[in-house]
Amino acid sequence: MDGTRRRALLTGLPSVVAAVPGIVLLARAWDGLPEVVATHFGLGGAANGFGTRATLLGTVIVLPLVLGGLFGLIGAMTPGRRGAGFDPAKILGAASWAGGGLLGTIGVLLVLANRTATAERLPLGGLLLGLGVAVALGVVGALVMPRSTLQPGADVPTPALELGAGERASWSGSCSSVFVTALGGVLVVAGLLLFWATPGPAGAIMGAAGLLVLLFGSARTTVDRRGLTVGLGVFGWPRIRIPLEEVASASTEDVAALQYGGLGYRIVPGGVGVIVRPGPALVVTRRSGRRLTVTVDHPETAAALLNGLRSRAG
Amino acid sequence: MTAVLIRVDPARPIPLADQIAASVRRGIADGAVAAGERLPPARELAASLDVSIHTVLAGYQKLRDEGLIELRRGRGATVRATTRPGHAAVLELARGLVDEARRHGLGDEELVDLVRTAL
Repeated sequence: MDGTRRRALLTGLPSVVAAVPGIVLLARAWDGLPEVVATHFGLGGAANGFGTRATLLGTVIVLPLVLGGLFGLIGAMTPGRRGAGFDPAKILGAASWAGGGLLGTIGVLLVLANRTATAERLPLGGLLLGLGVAVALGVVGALVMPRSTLQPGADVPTPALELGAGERASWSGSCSSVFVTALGGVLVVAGLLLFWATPGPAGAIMGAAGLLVLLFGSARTTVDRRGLTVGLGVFGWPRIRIPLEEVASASTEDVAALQYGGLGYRIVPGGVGVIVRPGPALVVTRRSGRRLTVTVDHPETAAALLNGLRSRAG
Repeated sequence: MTAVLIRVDPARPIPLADQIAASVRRGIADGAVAAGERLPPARELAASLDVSIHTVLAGYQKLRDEGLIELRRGRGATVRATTRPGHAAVLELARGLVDEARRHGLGDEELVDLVRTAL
């Protein structure tokens, strides 16, 4: 079985399997269930939300299937290699098993609570039981999920570009994501509309979030005598700079989806990533050992130039 | 997306503006700069290379005269949609031929005749 399918099954199946006891229980108890059932419980265990029997189908069957599908999809996209020092595959393994376990337990408890029509209470410690199951399964998930295969980026510095003593060179490149830009634009417009309809923090926050998303819809990277400059967003501002004196070496990497845990400004152990899209990226290692990864098209030339400038500066 | 490497060396006997134009030509020829894409804004490129903005603009104007790029106020320099990598490659070769001929003291008429006989 190839790695992608294996990861998809390992992350997608737990939610589905964990839902089976609840589904069996629901099927057997169905005829005896009242028309109106408790669907939500307070922290003390007393029911505080009610719905028709059909809503149980959603919680017990549909929700786990959707969750399993989502986890499976993310599992398939999680790369067989790891970013700087942390392994997204292990975290995903834990999350998918824990999430599936929690939901499955809730499903069983929900049916049990409603089967005995007199006591619409979640059995004592139900929440604790669910959390306990989640933690236990989370540990199992992290253990069974195969470790990502490759060590963080091959990290072989790109061969330096030969530069004349007085030669000046400037490399500039960029990359953008239509999806992220569109998402940011939609958020900004929706935030403005919301603010116009009901002035308040909700619209303002949504608009601000949209602006933040827009910043990471594109990035312009420049390499020259001054070092590395990354300008974010359409206006190339704000900027991230690494002075040439601080550069230790540069290399390239092919960033896989979710390798840095998503898009945008990603802080990972050992460094920072400006991830606009999956694909080619420039990796700059600072003298302190910390790394900056910036997705950009044709990063080989940028890395070669940065190493050339670095070695000429001595 | 654009990815262009501009190299200039004041120690070479070729004007800096011509060196900038040659770098862009090579970028278009090897496919790193595709049709419809934007070149770095002149002001930013000038600061990056530590040359005058007029030098960069002179280089860009050369490329415009060759039909490779468009210069528009406010939009900056963009590679023309009709520009093909092969076109830029031939232009770059032609530049090289002219430079080489001049270096060897060949007159312009002589060079044109030479090219005509080669056709």
